[in-house]
Amino acid sequence: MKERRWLEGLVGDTHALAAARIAFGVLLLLQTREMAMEQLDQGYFGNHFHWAYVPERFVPSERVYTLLLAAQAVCAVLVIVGHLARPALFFSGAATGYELLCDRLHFHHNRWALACYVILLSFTPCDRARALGASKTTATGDLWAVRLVQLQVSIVYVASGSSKLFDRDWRSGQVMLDRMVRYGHQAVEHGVPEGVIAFFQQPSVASLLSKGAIGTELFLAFALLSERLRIPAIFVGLCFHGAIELSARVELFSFTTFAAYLLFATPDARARTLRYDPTRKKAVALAWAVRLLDWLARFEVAPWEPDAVAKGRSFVVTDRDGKPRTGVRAVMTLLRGVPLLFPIWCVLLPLRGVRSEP
Amino acid sequence: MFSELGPRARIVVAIAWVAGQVALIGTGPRRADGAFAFRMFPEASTIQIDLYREVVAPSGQGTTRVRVEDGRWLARDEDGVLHRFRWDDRVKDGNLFPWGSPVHASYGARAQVERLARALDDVASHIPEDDETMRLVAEVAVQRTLEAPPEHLELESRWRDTK
Repeated sequence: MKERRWLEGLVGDTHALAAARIAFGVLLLLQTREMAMEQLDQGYFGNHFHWAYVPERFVPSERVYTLLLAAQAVCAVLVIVGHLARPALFFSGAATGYELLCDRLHFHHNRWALACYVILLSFTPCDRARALGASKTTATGDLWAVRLVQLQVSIVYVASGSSKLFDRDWRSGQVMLDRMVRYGHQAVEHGVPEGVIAFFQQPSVASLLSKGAIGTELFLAFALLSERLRIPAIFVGLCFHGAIELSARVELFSFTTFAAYLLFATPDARARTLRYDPTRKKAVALAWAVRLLDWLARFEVAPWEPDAVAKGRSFVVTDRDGKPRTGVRAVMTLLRGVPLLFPIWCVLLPLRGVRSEP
Repeated sequence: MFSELGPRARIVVAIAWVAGQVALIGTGPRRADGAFAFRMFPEASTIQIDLYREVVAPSGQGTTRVRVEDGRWLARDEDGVLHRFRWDDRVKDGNLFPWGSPVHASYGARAQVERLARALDDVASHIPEDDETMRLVAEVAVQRTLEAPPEHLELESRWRDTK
């Protein structure tokens, strides 16, 4: 059966999962803080106008709700440190879903997306690396549920993109134009030059932008699931969500999506190496920086044993293909493998004419 | 805990999850706010809410509308004692505040109108010391696009039991 093959036979390294777990843990903590602040600011939601999807008798009392938020905060910390992380993830997702059902005035798509991702993440072995008490030797696991998280990312894009595609005002660019005209000042407040906003406030540009947004969401939905298109898709996604972040208030949505993107990394640990000259300060600093930022455990970092390639170099990087790289190619390999620097690699790739290795 | 699920259990979990998502997304248009259906930025509509109280007309016959300025009003209880009332004592959502000027219709105009109708009933049923207001009325102007003319609606709370 095709679906069975899709869910079987994917055993791999769990460092990327651990990075995603920590990122989602931080997001859960931020979201819980946001919800607690809402209660402190406005009072318990049940004491004023609210509108529940569930029957009123299932809406928690003030005390129960407070305990629930406290439990969510504790769970977020457990997720971050990796202790009882998977039950904590499941509880956090279920609690968030329940809270959304208790008051539709507090419903936000980003909260629901976060709940979906963390529930699915609880089915993965995300607690085997970078976790309290995790074994140093067995950081691999069965990654069948990672497929489901990836699929969920696509589901979000398909739902969002298709709802716009079937809406005449969205297709024509009217909605985008309205947003640009009405809320362009928010982007200016975020530092976007006024001239840029004025450009996007032209009807023809807004129309093009609208079709581009729909096309981008639908492209991402399918390209992220394709091994061949995954890298460009992630870059497009980073730009897309960066633009949304600048032009709209979407709470944690962009960061939730970025965290989910970590789950698209190839699950192999230390498949690349960085060898550096321990006698050169710059090379030692580079090694330290790579160790610090290498959240996906892409690189095995070690001072080198002298060889013909290393001679006279500060550092040498070896990609998955085993070929040693120096100079610009080495830097590009580092940029590609380090999540925070990945966007820079994408930008430099066409400029430098350096092609990614197969 | 979960990853040890056998192949069949995985398929069951996967199918149940995807079916659930498809159901929620497929039924999204039926919910005014499109909740659980990932309908991001559904529209750029604005909504303008003006709030009124219907009280007994000075002639003693029929009712008259009194505009509620800035979401606040004064009214007497059955003993004639004057009380101050505020819309946002009950309704904390700033998008439902009767600003009297257009605000973004968060999650779409239909969702905001639906919420406002509920909010009117809620406020009307939580002002027991107001023995003057017979019901609350919101005059609503919804503008879906910049070029479209505004649609005007009138929403009324349930009648209150006053003297």
